[in-house]
Amino acid sequence: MITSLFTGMYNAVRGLQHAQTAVTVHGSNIAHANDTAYTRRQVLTPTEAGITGPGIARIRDLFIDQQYRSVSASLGEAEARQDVLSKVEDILGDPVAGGLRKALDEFFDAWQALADDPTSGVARLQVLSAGRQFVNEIRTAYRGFAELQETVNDDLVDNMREVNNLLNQVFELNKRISYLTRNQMNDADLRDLRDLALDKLAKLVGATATEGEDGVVRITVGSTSVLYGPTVLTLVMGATGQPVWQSADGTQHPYTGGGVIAGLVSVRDEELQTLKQEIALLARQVAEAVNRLHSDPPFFVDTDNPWKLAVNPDLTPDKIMTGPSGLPSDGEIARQIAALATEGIDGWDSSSIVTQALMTPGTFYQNLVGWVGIKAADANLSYEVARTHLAAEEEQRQASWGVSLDEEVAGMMMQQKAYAACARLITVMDEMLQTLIDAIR
Amino acid sequence: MRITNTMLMHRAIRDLDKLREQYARAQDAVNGRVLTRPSDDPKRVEEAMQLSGMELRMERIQRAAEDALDWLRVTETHLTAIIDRLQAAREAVVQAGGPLALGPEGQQSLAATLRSIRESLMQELNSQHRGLYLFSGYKTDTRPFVESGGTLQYQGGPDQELVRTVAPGFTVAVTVPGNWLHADEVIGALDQMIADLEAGNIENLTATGLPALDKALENLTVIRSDLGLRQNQVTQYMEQARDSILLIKERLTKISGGDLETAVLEMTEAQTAYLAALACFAKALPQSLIDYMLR
Repeated sequence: MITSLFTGMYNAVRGLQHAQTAVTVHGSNIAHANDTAYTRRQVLTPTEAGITGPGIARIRDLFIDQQYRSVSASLGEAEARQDVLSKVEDILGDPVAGGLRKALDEFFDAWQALADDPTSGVARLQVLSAGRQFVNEIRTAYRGFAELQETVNDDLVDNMREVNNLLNQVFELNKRISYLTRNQMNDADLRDLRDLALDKLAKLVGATATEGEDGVVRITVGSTSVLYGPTVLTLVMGATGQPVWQSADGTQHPYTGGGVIAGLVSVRDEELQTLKQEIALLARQVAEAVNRLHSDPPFFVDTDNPWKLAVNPDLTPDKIMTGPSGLPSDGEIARQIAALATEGIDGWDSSSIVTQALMTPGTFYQNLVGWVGIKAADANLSYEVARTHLAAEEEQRQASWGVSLDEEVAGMMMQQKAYAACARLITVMDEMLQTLIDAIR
Repeated sequence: MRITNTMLMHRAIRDLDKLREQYARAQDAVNGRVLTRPSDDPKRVEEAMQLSGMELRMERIQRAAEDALDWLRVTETHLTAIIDRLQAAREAVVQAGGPLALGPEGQQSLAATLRSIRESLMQELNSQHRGLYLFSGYKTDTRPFVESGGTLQYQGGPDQELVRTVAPGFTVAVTVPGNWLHADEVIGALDQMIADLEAGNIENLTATGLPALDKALENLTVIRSDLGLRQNQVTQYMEQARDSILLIKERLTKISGGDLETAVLEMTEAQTAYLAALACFAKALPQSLIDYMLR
């Protein structure tokens, strides 16, 4: 078969076009080399692209994305819990050298000192001051936990707003991507944006996404489809303070997802709630046990309200009853109160911390701190594990669609040479044609 | 595996983070702060809390034991003084070689001796320590023995002993309630002897006076020996408390990171690793093919 010189010319032109497009794509890749949300692109080889001209492919792996997002949901949950529990530890203060435990020890120590020397005015003053210190520490801890609970709730509301924004963003991107896909136009940038939104949603609520033929994704959270076709659900705070999905007609579906939202809800309703209850229990048990022994006048007032618990304001040093007889050196009551620290108080309600009904307040508080310690250490560990796991997944992603400058530079060199070669080809053909044309003259 | 420049960068940053964390932890250990949060080591934090509570209690106990020893010694001193006086009275009566052998003058002088002994006894019975009456039970602000209508009245709290906690959950009495001394009988016996001497009922002295004195002495001696036993007990508890405090302190230092040698070693290691990683990071990362081509 004999081919015309012009056919070769066309081939060379296609080679030039391909090299031009490829250099543009390399340029775009290099420009985004440090952008982790960017998906590396490649020019389809002329053979792959067929006769329609140069095409661009986005190197993305759905399987890796799914893995990444599922780990990201775990990380979101662990991170939210770890953050709050470390604040809980801050509120408890130095467990050994300070805080509530020290106030508790010093309160009973002051009573012991008074028992040993009931006639001492200083010992009486010390009992009052240690009592106030104890009350202060109780209030500080209780207020700390209550305020932290509020903060977590605010945080939850903010994050829910973010979830709704992201869902709407994906909904809009869906529409545009579907249009571009139908018209065979380049939708790579929009897809990068959508994937970024889906990553964020995975971390916040543990959303999973599936893509249809038309390039449209639908999103499922737990057992609820929250974005499908024209329907988008909204995440709102339900009547009981639990997040719920609400559709346009007002129907509500319970939230069954994971991620940051689930972490915040669990730490708000479990750990912080428990801590508030336990601190209130500690305050009540100690105050009531002391009042049972020192009843006239009562040593503490408002014993069942940790916000208001106080040392009886009417109590002056001389009104402290050191012994039942009221005689100056009778320290029996003081001794019995001091003994609460070693012999224990009866009637602790069973809870996650109480191990038996008769316990010393020190043991109770120790158990509480131990419980917080274990919870926080668990949260730290889960967070660490999830973080390391996510880093590995991130590596997977980078390995598969991150930009390697070396590759891009090498590719550009290749395209440069190819371009020069094709251009040279055209010059050769031009010269051949010229020779032919000159022959006519 | 395909490795990109960003991956290298991220890995290096992650590794540096980890090394910095190690370094910070080692530094905390050097500064003696290993247990600053419950999650650092929940079990050890619990132990440390328990130990510091115990330390406070043992220190209080040690102070109470020192105080108890002080009170016991004072009580014993005064009780010994009382016993010595009574012994002196007894000897005066016995050494007189039987009051019958004495002339009326001798009898008068014996009566005078007994009267002066009675006076100093009254003083001892109402003795104070740190401004508190020793023998009035809880009523330490009340004079325990007062004479009214020729008889001795005990005005302190009956059967009330001042106590000190000298071991966890264990108290020891540091004073003797005045009514246990049977002071009314003692003073009564002396008074009777003086009256008998003055009235010339000399035979009563040996018949009833001396036996009454002996009985009182026996009672007081028993009480005194009990005080001695208690002193020994308190001394033992005090030594125990001192030993426990030492042990507690040692254990506390150990679990809250007092092992300085290991801590310093770990810190130096962490520092070296960190510096090496930094040098490596600075050298390798900024390079790529772009530094060599397309110039």
